Amino acid sequence: MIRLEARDVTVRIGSRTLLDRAGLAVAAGEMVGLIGPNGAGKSTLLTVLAGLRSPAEGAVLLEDRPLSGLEARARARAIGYLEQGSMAHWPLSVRHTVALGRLPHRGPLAGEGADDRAAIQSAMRDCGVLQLAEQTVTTLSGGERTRAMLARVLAGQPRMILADEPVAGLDPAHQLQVMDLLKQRAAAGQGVIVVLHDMALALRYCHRLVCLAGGAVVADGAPLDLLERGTLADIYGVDLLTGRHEGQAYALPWRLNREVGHGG
Amino acid sequence: MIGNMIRTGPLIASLTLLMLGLLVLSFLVGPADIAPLELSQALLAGGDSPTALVAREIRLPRAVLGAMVGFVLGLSGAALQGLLRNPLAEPGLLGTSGAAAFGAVCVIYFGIAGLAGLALPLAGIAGALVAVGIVHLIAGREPGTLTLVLAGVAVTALASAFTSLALNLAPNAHAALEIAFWLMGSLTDRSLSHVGLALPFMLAGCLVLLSQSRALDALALGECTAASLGVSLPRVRTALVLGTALAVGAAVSVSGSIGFVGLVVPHLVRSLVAQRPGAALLPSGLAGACLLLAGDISVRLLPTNDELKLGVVTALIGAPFFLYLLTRLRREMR
Repeated sequence: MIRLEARDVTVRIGSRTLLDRAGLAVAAGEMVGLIGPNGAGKSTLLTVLAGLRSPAEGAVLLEDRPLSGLEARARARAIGYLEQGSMAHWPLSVRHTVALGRLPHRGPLAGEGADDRAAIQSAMRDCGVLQLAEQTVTTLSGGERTRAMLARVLAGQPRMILADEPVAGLDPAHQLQVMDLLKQRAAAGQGVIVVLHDMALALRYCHRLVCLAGGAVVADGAPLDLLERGTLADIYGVDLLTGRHEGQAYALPWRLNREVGHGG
Repeated sequence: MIGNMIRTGPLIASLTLLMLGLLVLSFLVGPADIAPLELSQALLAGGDSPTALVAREIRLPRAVLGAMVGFVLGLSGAALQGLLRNPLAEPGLLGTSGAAAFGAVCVIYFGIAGLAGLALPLAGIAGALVAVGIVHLIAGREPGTLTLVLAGVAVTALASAFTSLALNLAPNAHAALEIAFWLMGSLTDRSLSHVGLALPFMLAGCLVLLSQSRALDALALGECTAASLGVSLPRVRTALVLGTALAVGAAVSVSGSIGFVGLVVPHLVRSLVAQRPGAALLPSGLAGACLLLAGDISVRLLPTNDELKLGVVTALIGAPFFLYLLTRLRREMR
């Protein structure tokens, strides 16, 4: 079973503990939502899982082997990482931006091969950016840019996709579009971890939710269970408006819960 | 569809042809009025005839150095702009130019330049290497990009302070003038031994820089995403610091500081390679060589009393052109 797992990882910067023995695993075909209040350590955990930051304690395992033992390019082929607010610093075309996702697959001097072109093409098609191929990525709208950047991740055909708040700042239609895309990848057999703040999307799209608070994992389970146990309401310190529609549960943050004591 | 059609091959081929053409032209142009055919024959035949000496000892090194120095400046400018994702970066940014210049100025100051012909470039290269050492010390073992730049700025400031000090304390007016002129940058009166001395360093530096093409492409998406694509950031930074130190240090050591080529050329080239920072490297080097050769030919053709210094000409043309580019860039980047 293809699996990416963080086992008891601790990350410190100076005297601050960003992650405190946090653990999280995702399997192929699974879509895991990583949720929790701002500053809980979600992004940090994601970068640790992506192999971009080595934990002070604990380990990250890919298929039961330490990720740190993997050569950087091999790791990059296995794990695709979508940075929060990912953007290009030069006015590259969408096509060239997506093509960067193939870098870990190409030899030091090799040009773009037929494999590369096919992967780039199908990633752009899946994300609906084919018609934007020659547009400059820096001039796209937020939704278009997120889709282009997601196409860049998909072009690398990673086994695991880690997306840091991919729907932040997008309008509802684009949010649904991006979540649909990620869910399709999970259905296609890739493992997906997505950092989310939107409870409704988390409930509907994720197979499992992992709740982080203060750098520690406080809950890990099926979205509906966490909702019914009140965990979702508790970690954010809010009262939820819940209900069902078309056989699916939904929840909306309704008001601050004074009893729980909200820090922010 | 234009973006897909752009291949760097034809661009590199045409720039190479242009460079070779300018190289030949640079060899043929000079104050001694010798027919092209005669000059070329004298070079190939060798010997110690006056024509052969002019061809071998004056024209050839000047033309070759023009191409080499221009290549280094264009390439390192493109590489540093790629690393910093900033179109205002230039080859001297990491302190190597300033330090190399100071090393060379020391040699003039102490009057060693006249005693040993190669003392000047050697001191320049030594200066560049010392600068790398200091940058390394300041920035620490795994420097962030910002730390690296700040360290470079500090080293540049220090080197330029000492250079001013040398000018200030110059033993006589002649020495001060010599230092000032040398700092302006020029390719006159360089010999083949200058070429031989600087070439290995420049070659090594350029190869190191060119090897980072993929990494610079990935860095277009920021450091974090580049790392997720398998790029080792510490390795890229080290490669660029070392590469520019070797190449730019050696270039400044033989030519003095020639500004604006490394700043302007990557801007011209990027629009021809669909803005990809890695793909801009080699064409920037070639275009830099073309520009410097053209500039060096023009200072020989301009009817001025004393030959204008090459660095003065590149600055005179480069600065207004750079302003023009900036106004255009502002529209593009919006």
